[in-house]
Amino acid sequence: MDISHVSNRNDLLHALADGQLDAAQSREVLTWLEQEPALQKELCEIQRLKHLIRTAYPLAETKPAAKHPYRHYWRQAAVYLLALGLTFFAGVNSSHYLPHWHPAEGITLDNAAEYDNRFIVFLDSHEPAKLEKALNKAENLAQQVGRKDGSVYIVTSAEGIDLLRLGATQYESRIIQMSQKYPHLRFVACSNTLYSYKQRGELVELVEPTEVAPSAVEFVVKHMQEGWRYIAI
Amino acid sequence: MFSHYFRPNRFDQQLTEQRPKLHRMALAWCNDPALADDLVQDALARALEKQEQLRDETRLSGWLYKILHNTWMEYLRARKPELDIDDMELTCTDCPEKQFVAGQIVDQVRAAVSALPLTQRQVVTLVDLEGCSYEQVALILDIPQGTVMSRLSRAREAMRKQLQPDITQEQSRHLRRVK
Repeated sequence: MDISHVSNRNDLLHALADGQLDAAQSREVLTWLEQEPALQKELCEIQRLKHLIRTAYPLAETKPAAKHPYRHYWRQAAVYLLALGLTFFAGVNSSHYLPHWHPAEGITLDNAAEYDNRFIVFLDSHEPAKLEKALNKAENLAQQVGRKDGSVYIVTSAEGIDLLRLGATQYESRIIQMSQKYPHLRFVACSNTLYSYKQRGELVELVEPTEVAPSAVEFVVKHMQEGWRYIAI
Repeated sequence: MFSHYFRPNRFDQQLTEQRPKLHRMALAWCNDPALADDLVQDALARALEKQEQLRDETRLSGWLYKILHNTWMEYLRARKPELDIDDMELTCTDCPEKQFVAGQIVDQVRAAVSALPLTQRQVVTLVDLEGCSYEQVALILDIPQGTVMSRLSRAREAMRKQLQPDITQEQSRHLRRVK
């Protein structure tokens, strides 16, 4: 891709996430990334959106079409023949990647356990209000699903990792307490984020019960495919 | 003895293989499963009619998306002649039924995609669902690559805002739910 005319760094970040840059161009943008944590977060967010969009529209077996008045009948006939061919050659499509569908009607934080018993609370910001909110939501859910043999994960990425970072978090004792009180509540940090800290020469130590996942986004997507309910903070 | 009547040719097979992807794209564009079925069937019928125009088989996918795009544009012009389709947005982006299922990430993402202006919606879905290059998107939609990039950037920014409602909004929703 010719980026000589592209002056907007933001556009180049999108181009990197979309695999539109060659090796030299990628190196150039990656150099900026190493120097600017805000851009790293931006890239992480673009990748998260890409994953979410793919998750929201899985490839699925299509049903025969409804009739539509504006179409010519001979066209319909041609396509029905094509659909007939489908039955011979396509076989049965897998529904493995279809998202688990829950009855969301009437669900609130207070009655969530009536609908489900596995939740992921995702946090990628270190805004004080959001840190508090993530812990409160997770604790509330942990109380509810504890009676139903359920599980809750707090998954942190980008700046959200500050919730679990020693020296940055104000919640170390609360997290340890919560972890002891609710064994089915677990805390997860994104390895990609830790790696970017390491590249900048910052050593990150995490609160004791924290587990590390290779990629927070992949972790969330994998669990959603298995039917977990996702809550973004 | 009748087997040769039911043996689809190579082009039919290729269309058959592309059908689920086309349907996924049409659904992302129009957010209506029945209409997506119609659009895909119409696009496939047109592809069958015009198969002689496809000179390079490696470009089948992009060619089909261009036909799907044209099919949808025709449908929209027939249905909404008074609107400029470049400016079309889903009028109801915060309806009760959408809030009703707000806990579902799939629904949230689909609502966010549907709320995008049509032109941004097409670009972001072609890139993220089908993995089209910017050059391919420019060819399919008949727009410059620079426009592809700016629409993509705006679309993702809008989606990010839509998928991360501010705390005040979320609290107000919870307050309404309390009985």
